Amino acid sequence: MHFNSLNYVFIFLPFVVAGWALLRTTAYGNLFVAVVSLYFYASAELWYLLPLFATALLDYWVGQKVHDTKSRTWAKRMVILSVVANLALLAVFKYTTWLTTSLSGVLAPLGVAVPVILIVLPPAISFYTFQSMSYTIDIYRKEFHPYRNVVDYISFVTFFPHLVAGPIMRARDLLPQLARSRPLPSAQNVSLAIFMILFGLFQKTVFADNAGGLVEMVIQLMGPGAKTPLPPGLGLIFAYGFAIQIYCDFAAYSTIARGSAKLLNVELMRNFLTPYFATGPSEFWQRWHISLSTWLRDYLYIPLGGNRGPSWLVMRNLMLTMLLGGLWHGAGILFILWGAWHGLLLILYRVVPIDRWLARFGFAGKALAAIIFFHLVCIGWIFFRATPEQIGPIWSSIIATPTIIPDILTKYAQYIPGPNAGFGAWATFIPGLLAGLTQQNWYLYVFGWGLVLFAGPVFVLDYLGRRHNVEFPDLFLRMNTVTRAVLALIFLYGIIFFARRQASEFIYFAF
Amino acid sequence: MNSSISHFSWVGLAVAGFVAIEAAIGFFAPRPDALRTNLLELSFAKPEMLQRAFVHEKLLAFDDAHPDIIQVGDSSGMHGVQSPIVESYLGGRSYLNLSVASNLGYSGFYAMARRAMERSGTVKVLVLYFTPGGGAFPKTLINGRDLMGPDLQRELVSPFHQLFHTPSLGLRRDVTDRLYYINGKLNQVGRPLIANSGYFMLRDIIAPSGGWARETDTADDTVARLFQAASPGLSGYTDEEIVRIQRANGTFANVPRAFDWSKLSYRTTLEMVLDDYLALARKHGARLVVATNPVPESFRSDAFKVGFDMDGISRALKDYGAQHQDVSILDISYWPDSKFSVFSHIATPYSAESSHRVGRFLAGLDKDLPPPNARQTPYRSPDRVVLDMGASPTLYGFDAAEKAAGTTFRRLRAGRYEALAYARVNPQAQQELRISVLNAPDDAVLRDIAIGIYGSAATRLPDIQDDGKLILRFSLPSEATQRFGGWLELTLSTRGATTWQTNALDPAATGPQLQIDRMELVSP
Repeated sequence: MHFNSLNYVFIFLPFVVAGWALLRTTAYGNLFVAVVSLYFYASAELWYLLPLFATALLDYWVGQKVHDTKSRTWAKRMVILSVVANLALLAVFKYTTWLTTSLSGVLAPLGVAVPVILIVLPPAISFYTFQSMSYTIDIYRKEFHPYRNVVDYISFVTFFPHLVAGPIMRARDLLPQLARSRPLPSAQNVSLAIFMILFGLFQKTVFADNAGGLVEMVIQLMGPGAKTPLPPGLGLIFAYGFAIQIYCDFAAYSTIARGSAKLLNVELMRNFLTPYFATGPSEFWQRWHISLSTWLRDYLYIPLGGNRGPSWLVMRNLMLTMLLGGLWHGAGILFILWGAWHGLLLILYRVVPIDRWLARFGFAGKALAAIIFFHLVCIGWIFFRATPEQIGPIWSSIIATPTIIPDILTKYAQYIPGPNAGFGAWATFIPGLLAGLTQQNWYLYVFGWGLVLFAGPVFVLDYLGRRHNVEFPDLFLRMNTVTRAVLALIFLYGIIFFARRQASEFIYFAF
Repeated sequence: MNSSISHFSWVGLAVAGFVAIEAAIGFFAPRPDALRTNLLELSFAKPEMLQRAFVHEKLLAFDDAHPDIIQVGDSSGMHGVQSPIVESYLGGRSYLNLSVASNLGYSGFYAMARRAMERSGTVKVLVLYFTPGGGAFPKTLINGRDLMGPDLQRELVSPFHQLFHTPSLGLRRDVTDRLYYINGKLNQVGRPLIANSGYFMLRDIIAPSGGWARETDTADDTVARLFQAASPGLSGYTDEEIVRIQRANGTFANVPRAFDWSKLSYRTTLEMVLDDYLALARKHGARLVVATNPVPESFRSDAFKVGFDMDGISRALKDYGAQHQDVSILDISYWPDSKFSVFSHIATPYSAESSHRVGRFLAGLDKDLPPPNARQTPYRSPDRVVLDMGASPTLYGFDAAEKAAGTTFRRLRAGRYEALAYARVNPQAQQELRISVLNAPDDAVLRDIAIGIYGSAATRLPDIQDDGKLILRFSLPSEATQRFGGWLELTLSTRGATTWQTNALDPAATGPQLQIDRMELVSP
């Protein structure tokens, strides 16, 4: 089931909230939440439950054993079992097809036949394995204790608002909330939750999906039937468009997830915080997919050594963490390159702290730093979204962008008014030049307008949130009744008029 | 308590605003129900999917009709059945062709049927028309990926989803056009949904034709290489090799079986699909007719018999009909390959023949049909019908439009003596066809021009000159214009024929010598 469906908003969610409200004081409250969560997850394919239960039950059992044993060696073995089993499951589902396809391609010229094994990837497997793994690791580290009630544990792993695409919640943050008998949410929280869900739907269906449409159209222009190279500038549309698509898509999911959880009086962690205003990579990763970056920090980067030790060791740790972060996202060399690019940026900014230098120049310097870093992030998004065959045309198009103006000036050279020409000559020439510029770069002109439509408001809303160091929906508590109502109408009519109709899944479902 | 309620005052205010806006739109700018759906994508700078646009146009044209008989199904029916011809057999009952394309899937056809039956309340016969050349019924058209069926179910018939079809939804196209394209600066406001000749044709012709649109499968209207279309890449193979390839590719048209969860048993997909349609028909007190499109003779050849089990499909259909008294089956007919554009589509010149086949069959059910309903709204034709040679797609056998000295004109395509044009006129009035040509008055090709309407010859009247152009005039026989309620298939021939002769091309044909810039039908 998808958040961006009428069935979810008007049937599933009210039913779940009502059911939980009725059962919350009984022993069946969490059982009810667990059952509806499993329905939410597996209503499309029942077999998705198999790897989910395998992970959840193994870690539930390991958690008990690690806690109960007095031997640290035995506890360590158990936690290693949990980590290996989880990663193996992830590897089988996520990487087998990619590995066998790649091997088959590489070894075929040598006459070695490698059968390609096609495995369907269950949604959310990357999320729930990481989440479940953190439970056993935290128990091993004695930072958390196991919960004996299997229903509570299952409801933690499968809690529907965050099951499919996070936020990746730690057991210590979520399990205690779920395990206790919770009161009904406050009126203020319900009110905020409704606003968050409405905003999330607007952000997903209007901004994310339409920006995705721009990306798809650029891809179409690079398709098999393409007769000409990708026109100058469209590579930028691809990168900017995808930057907006993936941000709005994922942030919208997280906002709807948080809003939905609030209705059950559960607080999920914030996953985004105006990331495109970050001035450098460290700040970016404190604002982008926060639940993953903190997970990687706590369970990978710090165990690897973190910031301790000589510089080269820290750089190694950064690179390894980001490479694995890339691999977590998907099977493919370009995901690894995306991770490597961000590892490289983290290292680069440690060596050359551009953001700190520019910060000396006040607001303008910070703005420049944010613009520079946004473009560096966009370069990464090209690796994330494109196929290997598309990388070349996209880059050629980006590199050719500066030639647009000289090209048009060369074509119109004969019409440039002479040194003694009067105002009239220029008044004729300049509109003609602009018209020519538009006609010669029609796709760029149209898609550029599309980008203004679907990206412009995103930056405005994020800027408003950024001023208070929150996300835009969090400003709800500062708004008066009329502002809230007007915004609700804007979101509602935005969805009615501009939402893309062929519902597209949230991008992170694929991970 | 008051404090709790105050947290939701914004919700109350927003709901009040929403209701006020919707009421205002509903009162001052109402739009037809067909526009108040989420069927069209209307994405920024992206064309619509062709079949989605077809469904949209059929809804726009027929959503408020009150037909006695409706036909739903795949494209074989859309291209193969001309409603006015069928109606001529029905004693005043009206027939509507709501067939679109196979990628609607059986649930999509069902949604079209259910919507028409529920909205009109007049439908007494539901015709499911399909090509058995694709099987009866393939699982890919029942639960395959990317079928439009689920969308149509949701948008056309789901009571829950229709709750969200607010008046403002009807303004979606206006609003997106104006914002996305800067009020016409980037793209014409209200332009056709897609730039596609098949779409233009359908849009122009479906209202007068009762839902029929001619096939556009083949470039230049030549009959396709049938077997290549049926099974691409088979040209040049022996029968044995074709059998082997078919087996390897799993190319089959048969009666598949699947597990029916509602009956907890394995059944044929034919039974499962038809049960749903029959239940729908019974709910409305209607009869179910399962009609097959004709199949090319070649499907009986040994090569095709392996994968294409026409006999099995025929048997299964007959069995189903025998088991249910309120189901009638129009069994498979085999037609010469030359009458098909692809294996599933009757070529345009033979769609009238196909329509007669359906009409005759329904006429045979006459005793089972109730009298015509009083609410039907007959098509009202304009007094003057112009067939624009530049854009009109209601033509068959013509070459692409050409331009000379500011005039757009068309020739008959190379190899042709005949071409067809479709229009609907007022059957009660005398009609005159005026053809404006760029040829010189003494051009030899003009001597042998003849116009036929279903085999009846039009009388040639003296030519006239208008604005320097030669106008050929023909008086149409009134018995021909009245025959199908004003629906005309005009055969234009440069060899004096009054009927379509053949789809075979003749390099010496004189058709291309004729240069037509305009055809119009007027009541003198």
